[in-house]
Amino acid sequence: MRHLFKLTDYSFSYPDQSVLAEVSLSIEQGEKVAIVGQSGAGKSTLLNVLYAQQPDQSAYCVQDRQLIFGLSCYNNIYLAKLAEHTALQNLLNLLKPNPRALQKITVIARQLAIEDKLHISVNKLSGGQQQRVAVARACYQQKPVFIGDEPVSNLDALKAQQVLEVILNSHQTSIIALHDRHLALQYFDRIVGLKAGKIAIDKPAAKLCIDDLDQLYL
Amino acid sequence: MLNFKKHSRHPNSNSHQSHDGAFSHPAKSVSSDGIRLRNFSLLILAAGLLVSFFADVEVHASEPWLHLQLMLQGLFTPSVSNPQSLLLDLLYTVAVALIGVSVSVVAGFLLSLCYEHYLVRLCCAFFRAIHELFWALIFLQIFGLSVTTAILAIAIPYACTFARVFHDIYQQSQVKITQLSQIKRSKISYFLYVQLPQTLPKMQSYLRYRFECGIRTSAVLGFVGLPTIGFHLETAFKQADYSFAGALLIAFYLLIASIKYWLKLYLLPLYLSIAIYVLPSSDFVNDSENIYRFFSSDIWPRVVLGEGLSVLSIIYHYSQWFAALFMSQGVAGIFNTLMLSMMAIAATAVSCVVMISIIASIDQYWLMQKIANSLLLILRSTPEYILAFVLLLIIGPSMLPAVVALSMHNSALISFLLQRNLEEKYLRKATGFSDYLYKILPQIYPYFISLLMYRAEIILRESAILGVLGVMTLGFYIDSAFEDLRFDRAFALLFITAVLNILVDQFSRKMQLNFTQQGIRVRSRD
Repeated sequence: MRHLFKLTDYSFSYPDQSVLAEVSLSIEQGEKVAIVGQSGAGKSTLLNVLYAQQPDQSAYCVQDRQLIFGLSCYNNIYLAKLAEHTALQNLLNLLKPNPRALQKITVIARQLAIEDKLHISVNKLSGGQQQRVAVARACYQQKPVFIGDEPVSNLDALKAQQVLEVILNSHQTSIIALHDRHLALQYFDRIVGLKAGKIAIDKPAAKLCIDDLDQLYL
Repeated sequence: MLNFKKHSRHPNSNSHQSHDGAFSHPAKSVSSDGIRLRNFSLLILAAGLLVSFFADVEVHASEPWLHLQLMLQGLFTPSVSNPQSLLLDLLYTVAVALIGVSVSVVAGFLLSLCYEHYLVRLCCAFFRAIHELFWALIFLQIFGLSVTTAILAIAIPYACTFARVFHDIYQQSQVKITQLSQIKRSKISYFLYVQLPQTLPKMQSYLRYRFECGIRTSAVLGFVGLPTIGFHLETAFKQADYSFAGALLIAFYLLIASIKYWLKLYLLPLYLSIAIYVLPSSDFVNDSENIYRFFSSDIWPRVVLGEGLSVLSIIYHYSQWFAALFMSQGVAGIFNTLMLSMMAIAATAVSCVVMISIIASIDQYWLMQKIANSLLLILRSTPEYILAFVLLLIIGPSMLPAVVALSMHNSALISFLLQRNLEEKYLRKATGFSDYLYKILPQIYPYFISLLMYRAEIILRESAILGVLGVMTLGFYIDSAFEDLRFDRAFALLFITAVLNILVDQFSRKMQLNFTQQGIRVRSRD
């Protein structure tokens, strides 16, 4: 089987600080990988490196969401496919939503329970709602791989499960950084635990229990 | 002598932060930021003082205090013989400003989209460097004393300013959408979906500020004879009808103060249609023959207009003629303009420090604070040009009234911005003068110097224009050339003025960037 992502002894550091140290990791098509670890363990950097390996295959949902506050939710999601339309189409879409795009986006928004918010300016939404708009933007790209940096961290337990299910069901391969160890064990095939820039755990979820993961946070 | 550090710095970097900065470059920085700021301030002051020994800054009027007293009396006993004409003046002033600024914001927006282009940047810098009054003097020759002249005089330099400011604002958009690399392929789409929505509020707030500037400019345009409030203001002052002048000024201040209540951007279409309706329609002249003659022959010296001259000889003759003009008028004009600017900058710096000290130390006294704030408001709402005009009547023809006018207006504006900056940071808790010296001043000083450098360009622009009032700066020579109908000279001198302004702008921008992260270009008021 061909490796979708592969890192061998990869290290990354800022001038005064090491972020990733000798990381070796390969991810195959179809895997659902959770990346867990404390803040600052190197999760975001790892995701950046992985995304850079398959930028055309992957939809990347970054931690700071990168939502445009002057735009409605609909347009924030539509933004994912800006490059697929002409400038004129994009301009017209600002004036009146493109019906086909609207239809597709409505389906995604319904799954994420933000359908009623589509035409509201994104800065009027709560943090959790904004997070789901960012997820919707990534999903709307309709890429085979989803890379997410804490995409459900602002949601309550039930919503987090729903959103995670939507993400996992609509992507062949998912690599998601999470804090919630229970969600990681429950929804993912494989768990990669980072500690201080090194891979401390890399095992199938079935062979791990919550105590193993808690070790990462000590 | 001055070796400013290149790394970026927060506007309010205090001494602690600067120590951090010094720590990271132990080899390069010998003296602290505080020392640098002090040296720079002393240099500004020394330059201003030195220049003042050579400049004519004497009081030439025989009884300045009596004159001032009469004026103040008039100001406090305003009277209008013909209220209808006063209202019409105000209406015209606002209408000209509304149309001028609206035209310029559309043009400026379009220009800002291609501002990356070298030629656009150059043209904008050049046109912006020429003061609105100079534009008015140019268009007077083509369109006469008409509304068209007034609108174009505002629209052209303002459009170029909008272009630069909007472009600067786009650069400040926070979210760059890094995770969608392909999105930047279509520049237009990226602009529409990413940059514009983020920056629109800032642009709107800048537009509102510009409308206020536009009304001030529109008022000043009356001084060259255009049908705005400045026209009657000049007459009233010259005829010593100070009660009428007082009434006009009070009406003007009320107009400026009321802007925030009635100027809503969504009402703009309505206001614009009213403006077009009230302005005399016969004034919208369009004389293409005039325009052609002006640009093809009027603005060129006779030596290059002869029949059958080769391009080379035209260039040769023009440069000879230009060099002669430069030596006879340009050098003196530049010299005086720079002298006036340096004195004005030094005086602005001093009066700012004094004003902000006073403001900070009367923090507890509500009434005094209100009075100080209204004084600042009045000073910064009065255009430098009007202040200089009035002071010239009181003090007599020397550089002194110009220096005082420039420093009063600019220090009021800078003090206002500093005060707002203090309020934003909740820093106004000085309990005494020492407290102020050690706690407040160090925190705002870098921002203050950066504001001062930002105003330096504007002070230079104004220094040149004050020549129209008789101070021997570049504007004096330009105005004389226009009066003598020597448009060739006026054109060449305007070119010199613009180049000088661009050079000073480059310099002040560099100085400013030494003290702040991203410069202070947008003085949004919301």
